[in-house]
Amino acid sequence: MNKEILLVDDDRDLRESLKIILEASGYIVRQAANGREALSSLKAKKPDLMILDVMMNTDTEGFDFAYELKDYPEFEGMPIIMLTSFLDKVREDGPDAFQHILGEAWPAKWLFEKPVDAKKLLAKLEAVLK
Amino acid sequence: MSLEIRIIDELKDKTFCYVKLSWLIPPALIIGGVVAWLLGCYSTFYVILIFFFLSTIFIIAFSISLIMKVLKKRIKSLFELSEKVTILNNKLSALFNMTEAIGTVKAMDLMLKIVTSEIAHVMGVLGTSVKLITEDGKSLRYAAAHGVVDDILKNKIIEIAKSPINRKIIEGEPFVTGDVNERDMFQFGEELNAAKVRSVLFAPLKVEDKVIGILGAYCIHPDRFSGQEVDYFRQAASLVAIAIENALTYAKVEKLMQERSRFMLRVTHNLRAPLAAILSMLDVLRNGYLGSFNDAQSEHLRRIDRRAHTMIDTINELLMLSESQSGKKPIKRIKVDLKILAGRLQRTFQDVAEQKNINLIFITPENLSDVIGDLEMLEQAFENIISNAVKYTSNGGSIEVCFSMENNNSIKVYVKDTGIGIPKDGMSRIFDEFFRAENARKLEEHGTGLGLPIVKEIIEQHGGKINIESEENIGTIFTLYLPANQK
Repeated sequence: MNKEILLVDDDRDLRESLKIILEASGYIVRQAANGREALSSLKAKKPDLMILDVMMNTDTEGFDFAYELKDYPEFEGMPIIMLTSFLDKVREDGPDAFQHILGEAWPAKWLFEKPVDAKKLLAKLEAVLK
Repeated sequence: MSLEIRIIDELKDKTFCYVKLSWLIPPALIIGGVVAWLLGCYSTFYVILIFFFLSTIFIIAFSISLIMKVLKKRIKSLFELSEKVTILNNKLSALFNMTEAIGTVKAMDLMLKIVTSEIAHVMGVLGTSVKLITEDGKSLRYAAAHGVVDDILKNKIIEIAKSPINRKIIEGEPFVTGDVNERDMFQFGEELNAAKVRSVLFAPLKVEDKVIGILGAYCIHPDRFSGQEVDYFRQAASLVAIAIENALTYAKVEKLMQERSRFMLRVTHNLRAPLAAILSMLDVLRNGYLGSFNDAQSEHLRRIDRRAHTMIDTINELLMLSESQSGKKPIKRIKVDLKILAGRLQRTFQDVAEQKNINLIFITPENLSDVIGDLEMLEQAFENIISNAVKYTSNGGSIEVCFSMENNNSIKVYVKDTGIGIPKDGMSRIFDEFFRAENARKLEEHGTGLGLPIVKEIIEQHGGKINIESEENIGTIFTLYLPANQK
């Protein structure tokens, strides 16, 4: 059965191009433009995985949203791949600054830098969702 | 020293004067005794003899008691002197702490906390405070309070218009009173009275001609502050005022730096975001998700992709250079094992060198010292140099990366290639931002021109230096010198 991915990014162009790439690999892709839309989409149906951008309305909206999800036990265990334009910065600030999200107890273990290397992303998805 | 001399003089004057005179008695008695013995008056002789012994004992006892008395007085004086020295020492150490805090503590609250506490020490009072004039100039806010007034005054606001005393101090005159029973004089008179404060001393905090606040000292004893102390307090207030001004300036600079950093981050994000979308859409097109393209179309898409990647690289490198030059990004200081780093670099470039049939050699001696620095930054610097060497060396060439100890204090690393070299007229500009030599541009059309400025910045931040020797069409040698970690 095809796996379902929720793609959360405020950039419509990026979302749609990633959607094409992911759908071509057999994934069902739903989209959300921010944390609020993502939450209602999650509540409607829990996907198999969420791809979440870090910097949306605020510099850390993605992280904040991932952190908020800890209050929803129904989403526990859902893998989250985060996208950031500042991988170095996130790495430099972390892990302490993002321990609450990237810690072992929380599934957002993967960070991908934008522009996203589609091959690497597809390989990661396959490994996580196998 | 003078006290000791005085005491010794006193000892000499008093003790020896009496002792000298009293020692005249025994010889007189001896002479008397001898005369009596010669005249045969034995009973008189015995009486004189007994009197002689008694007077000698008396004189010795008197002398000892006198010496003891003087010594006791001397010990007491020395004890008093020691107490004075201790007090002076405490004052000096408090002054030192205060000056140190003024010079080193940048955070206003902490600096004021230390300063108010140390001034209380120096002045020997139970409370001190710092009031600062608010931005609108209408009020005074207690920015810090120490000791007996801490709880009652901290963060309270005084309306300057309603306080003639504070108005006078702000005009530049200190205020001192040894009787705060006149409660109406102070806006917080009741509180001061409740804290049993009897004497207060206020001095304006003045930077050049501008009064920025008021320094206060509080004591539970009446009429506590002398004219000398008022003068001293005014001088202390000048120091505190400079410290406050420094702290305020530092806070402004910090704020500006934060704003600049946030702005740079936002600008970079806004430049990168559309590029990331463009590259993602190109990915869709180039990988045929929306159908296939003919060769010419594919070639154009490849070129667009390449240019977009160059833009991303430029943005990243500009951000890195800007953060590094502004000192915003502090370099980590850890032990970097250059042998391990050399191994990593070899693995990074081995494949691409092989593809171009370039003979890439790494030489690392066993006795190579570590360097103290930022591993990622150093790796970035070496990567930039070696990737240039690979890029500008034609097929079949060679690149030698050699690490060695220059002497016990320095490590020398050279990267020698048989590439296109740098034209003479480009040598002086090779570390300029965005500069690319003409032959480099011919061979590799797109480049950021920021790679070498970044190398220079990184090496200099690590206390090292960089040299270049190059001849066009022969090759280039980049030589880096880095301080060795002293074991």
